Amino acid sequence: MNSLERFISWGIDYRGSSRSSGLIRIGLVFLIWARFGNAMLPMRELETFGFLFRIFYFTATLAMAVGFLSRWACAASAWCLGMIYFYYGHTPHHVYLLFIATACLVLTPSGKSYSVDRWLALRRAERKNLPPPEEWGNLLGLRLITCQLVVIYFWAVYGKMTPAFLLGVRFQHLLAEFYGGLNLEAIPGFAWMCLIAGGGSAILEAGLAVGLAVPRFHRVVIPAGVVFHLVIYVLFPVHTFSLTMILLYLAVMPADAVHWWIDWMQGMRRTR
Amino acid sequence: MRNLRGALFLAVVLFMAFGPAYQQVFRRECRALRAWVMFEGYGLNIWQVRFRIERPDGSGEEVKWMALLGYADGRKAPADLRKITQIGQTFAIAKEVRKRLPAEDKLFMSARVSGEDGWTEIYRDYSISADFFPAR
Repeated sequence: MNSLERFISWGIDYRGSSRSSGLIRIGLVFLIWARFGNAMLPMRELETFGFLFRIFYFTATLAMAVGFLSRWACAASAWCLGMIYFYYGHTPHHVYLLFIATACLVLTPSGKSYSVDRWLALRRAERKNLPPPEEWGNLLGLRLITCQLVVIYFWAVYGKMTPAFLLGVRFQHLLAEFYGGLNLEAIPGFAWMCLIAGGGSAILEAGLAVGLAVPRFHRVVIPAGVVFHLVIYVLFPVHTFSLTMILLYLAVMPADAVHWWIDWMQGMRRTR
Repeated sequence: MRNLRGALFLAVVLFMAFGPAYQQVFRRECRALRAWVMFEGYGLNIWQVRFRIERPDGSGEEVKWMALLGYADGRKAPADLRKITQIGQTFAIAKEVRKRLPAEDKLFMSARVSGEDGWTEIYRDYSISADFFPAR
């Protein structure tokens, strides 16, 4: 098997617990609502198409949140986000990330965990005196999300390969825009701190691009990435981008390990 | 079926991986081929202004212009002083600073503006004389 075949097999033959995708499904909906809940209220557009689109948006995302007909709900929600991005022209990258992550969820069995679908399946199994259905399936969508995260970091680093960014000058600009009035420049070593922040963020993102693709680095790069995104989330107006990235780290973690950890947290497994 | 899944997977990954090159390498616009440039457009066209005075006795110093305008705590200054986005604002500030200084003091303004390539210095020690702003 050559490396291309191994890569394809890594993508399409990944089977495991559906809990990660179930959690991502629920988390994504809350991020989508946090971003568009207000803007998508039906009262915002009373013209027929816009009004019906908004009703459909809430129906689809609500079904996605509770996990009712989950794949269809994810597909419908992804279509809504695609409309918001392509048709309505809300084109910042945090919107695209919500769209692509939701689209990838269609290719996961996210409805087999934490969902109405699961509840209905359990009831059916009970009626037929069968064991509970397994929370398990093909996780191609999680692999695609992993690839998307690696790509985001790679191109983010590429975008930072300018002297102005690497030397921290662009970071000074950001502080001047959002923290003007604090007179940060008077702080001794301000330029050095910006250099460390600018150059350091590029190095960290390069590490994330590589580290997310190599499982043995996950224990280091995932906590580093979470801290990195939380700091950015608190310092700058990045909307849902940082939180979405953190949520999507669930796709990078081995699905069965996440499943095991949840069991362990709930006292259903005693030893590691 | 498996081959089809593999081909589709590979196609999507290639789209994800190389799509951004369309904008980031070839500098063309396309919504579907998403670029991943962080903070694009933020922090641009922000002006920073500094003032320096020279007194007749030869002494000189940097002017803490926000304090001079009544905002010792810069956080309490109006938004258009905390974030200067137009060249006209720098001269509006210079006018107010000039008014508050003795006419015999020489006032010099330096101003720079932020851009993708860094700071661009627009004025260095630009003299703002007492009659620079004619009285109306």
